[in-house]
Amino acid sequence: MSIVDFRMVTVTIWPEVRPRGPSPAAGPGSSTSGVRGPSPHDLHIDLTGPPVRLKVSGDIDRTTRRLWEEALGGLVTQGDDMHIDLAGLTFVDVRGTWLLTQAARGLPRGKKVFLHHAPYCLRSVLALIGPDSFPIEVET
Amino acid sequence: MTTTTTTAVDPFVHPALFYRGARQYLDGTVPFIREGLAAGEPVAVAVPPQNVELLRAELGEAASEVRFLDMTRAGRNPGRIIPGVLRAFADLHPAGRVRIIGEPIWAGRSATEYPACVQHEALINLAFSGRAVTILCPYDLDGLDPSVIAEAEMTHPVVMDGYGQRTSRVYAPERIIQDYNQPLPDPVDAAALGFAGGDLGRVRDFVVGHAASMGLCGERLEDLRLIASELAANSLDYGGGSGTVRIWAENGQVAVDVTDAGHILDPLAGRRPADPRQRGSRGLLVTNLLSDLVRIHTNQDGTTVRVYFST
Repeated sequence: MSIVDFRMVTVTIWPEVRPRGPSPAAGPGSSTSGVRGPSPHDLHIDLTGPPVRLKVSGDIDRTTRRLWEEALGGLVTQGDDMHIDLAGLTFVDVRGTWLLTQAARGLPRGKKVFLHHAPYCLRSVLALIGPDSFPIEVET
Repeated sequence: MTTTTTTAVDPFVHPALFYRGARQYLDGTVPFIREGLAAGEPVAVAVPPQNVELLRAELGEAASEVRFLDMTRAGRNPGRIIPGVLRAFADLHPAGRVRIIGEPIWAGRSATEYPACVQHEALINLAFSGRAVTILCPYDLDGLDPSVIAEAEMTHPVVMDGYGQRTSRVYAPERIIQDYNQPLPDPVDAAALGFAGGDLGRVRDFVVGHAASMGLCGERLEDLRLIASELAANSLDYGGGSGTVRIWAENGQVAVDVTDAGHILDPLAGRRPADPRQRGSRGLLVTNLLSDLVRIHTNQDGTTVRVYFST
């Protein structure tokens, strides 16, 4: 397990399921890495073994979105049902929720995204941007 | 009283119905509904609740074929009506004509709400141009100020009243859109926070802290947190990279606005339903869908988007 600290992001990654694409360290904002300590608005994403593949806590917004997009992209590449534990998610913006719908669209036919402990902030926006258009199951 | 269903120029038809009392209301609306149902056209009615009841009683069994909405809820924010009511219904029925009765302006609309109402009526003409849709808008001559009726003639190409139907001689929706794009009144005792890149979490904390102290709670507090974050993110993306958020109490509501250096050039920004597959910005659309009122002033010097939430 490696831990990478960025300006607004902390990510814990199991090496065998490292997301595809360029490292977030190469992205905008990473040059200020280490300029401040942890914030309640940080995003933490743990990539874990099955059945839950992602555990998300903190805030997903313009600042932390890239890590979220890359973590979802990694799961889409695996092509299996996508179980996400959102018990620790404290905020997600509209684009962050939309990215989840696009990940669901990217899965092979018959596969779904399963959202566990999805907070109101995600459920409400999901309901506004096309609830019937995507293979997403929201655990209630 | 009957309604024109097509024109040679534009298949979109947008008449205003000026009525006095229940009899004229029913005379102007029920034939419109029945003609639509007889032609197999989908019909929706979004009007204040007392008029929903009036129409249900008059239509009898036929009422079950009509989609009814309480406009004082679904259209409380006028900016929500095009994406959340009118297009939400029309887009479900892309083949053939769709009929909608929409009554967005009723006695009791506040002076703060009215500019957004009349802008909405003007923007309907842009939003539905070229589409086979008829939207009939009743106006209560007894309950509304004569200036409201005069401006309804500017936002509707056709007007109907107890004497019949005529073409409006003063139809000028672009002028209404332009004339009502005015600086918003300065708030009293607002708390303000400047922000730039990386500050969105601070913006959310600032708004949530103040709004909670004003009595907003639960899901509505979360909705306002989302909107403040979306508006501030728009400032970072499109408004010069920084902005100012303000929050204050106004007439029992929580008011928040975000000001930046951007200029919104698209008059229908935030009023088109977004294709689920398209990446584009949805911040202003969600702001319209969730707020009790949205007011906007935008020009080359900057933009202010102001939202109101009832406590």
